[in-house]
Amino acid sequence: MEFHSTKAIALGVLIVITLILIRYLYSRIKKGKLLKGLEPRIIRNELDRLYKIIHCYGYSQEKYAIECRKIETSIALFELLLTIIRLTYNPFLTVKESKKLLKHCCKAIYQNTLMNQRLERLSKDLIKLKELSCDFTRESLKFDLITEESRKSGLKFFKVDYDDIHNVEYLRMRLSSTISDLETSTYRHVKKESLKRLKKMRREVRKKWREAEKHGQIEWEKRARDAGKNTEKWREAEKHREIEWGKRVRDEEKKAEKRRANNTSKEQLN
Amino acid sequence: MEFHSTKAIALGVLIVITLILIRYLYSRIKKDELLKGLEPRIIRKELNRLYKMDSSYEINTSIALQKLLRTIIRLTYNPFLTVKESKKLLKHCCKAIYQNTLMNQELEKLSENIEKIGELERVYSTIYSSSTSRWGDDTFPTTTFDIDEYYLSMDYMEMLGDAIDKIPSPLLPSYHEERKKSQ
Repeated sequence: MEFHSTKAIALGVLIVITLILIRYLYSRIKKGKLLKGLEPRIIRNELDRLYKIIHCYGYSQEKYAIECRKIETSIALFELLLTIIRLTYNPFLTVKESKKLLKHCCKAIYQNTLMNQRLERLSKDLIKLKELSCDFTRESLKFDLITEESRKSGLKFFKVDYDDIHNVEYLRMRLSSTISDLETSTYRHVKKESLKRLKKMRREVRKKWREAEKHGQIEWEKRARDAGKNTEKWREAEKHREIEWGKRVRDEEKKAEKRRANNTSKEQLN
Repeated sequence: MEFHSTKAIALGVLIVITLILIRYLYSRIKKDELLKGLEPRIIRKELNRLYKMDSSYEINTSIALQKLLRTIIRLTYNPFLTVKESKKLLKHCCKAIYQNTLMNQELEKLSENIEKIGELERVYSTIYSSSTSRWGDDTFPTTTFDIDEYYLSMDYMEMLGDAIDKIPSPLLPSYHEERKKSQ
């Protein structure tokens, strides 16, 4: 069968286009599943909410340092997600590639959300700290008069009833514990140990992987199952221990009651 | 001029492939310009630096963002991703990283401030506790203060109060509202 040359070339092009179309439809179906729950409408709503917050609080005039950065990072991440979702429908982007992109973007958003939650907790602690500091200053100012009088009269010491100083002491302790809590939650530093730990962990994983490859996947799965069984056994043992412990406590209570009853009867006899 | 049909079809396919190749080369040149300064080596270095740090929440976010950037850079070389699309993707990702860096800087400033407050509080506490001593008995307990040391501790207390007031706040909009109401 012979064609006219131009017609044949057109057919070749048509074949390629059909193949691309088939690929597009296939990836569309696969990617539709990937994008479930990631409707652009939802992301746009979230973006609107964030834009409103920034607009309402006029961040440019006042110093909402961390709060402002927090919202701007979230906005940038959601805009990126929106772009990635739009790009996902590109037929030449493989399902694997799209999955990887979406996975990384969603992970970044998740980590950012965790960070925001922790920042919110941190800011609550800071507010508490400010309030505590005000209360503490107010309470300790009560002693100003006594100290002034003592100083004027040339004394080296002054005496206060413990009940009066109790409130100040309590506030001081709360202030110091809040500050130390804040220090632990914000302090970050480079750890040399962590690098070593990371290397060790990677080495262990590689070793395990090689072992698994040697013995075959079945052996590896068996081990995982055994580990699962062990945890189940452990849980059961713990349950038994709890029951046993409960029994012991009850026995002890009974004994104590008996002892108390004996004592009271003895006292009555006496 | 007439061809054999299969040869003609192959030629058609070849034309499409050549067009794709030209597009690939064109986008490669354009995208190379886009990716200047975003070499995977640099990102790998940054990732290694972050891995070395203590695993706190801000570092986890930075790691996630750097990984995302790495994936985007790898994808940029896809010839079917237009230069405009790649540019948009890279722009948004770099913006997110930039904002996150600014946020980390603010957090660093905050943690430095808190560290200073902690140091002040420790000094204040030592002076305060050295200025006091308990007297009396259980029924009438009294606390005696050394006036000079007590005054010194008060100075530190004032410094502490000032440092706490200077913390960049309000962090929460709700707090801002409350403060406005109280004023």
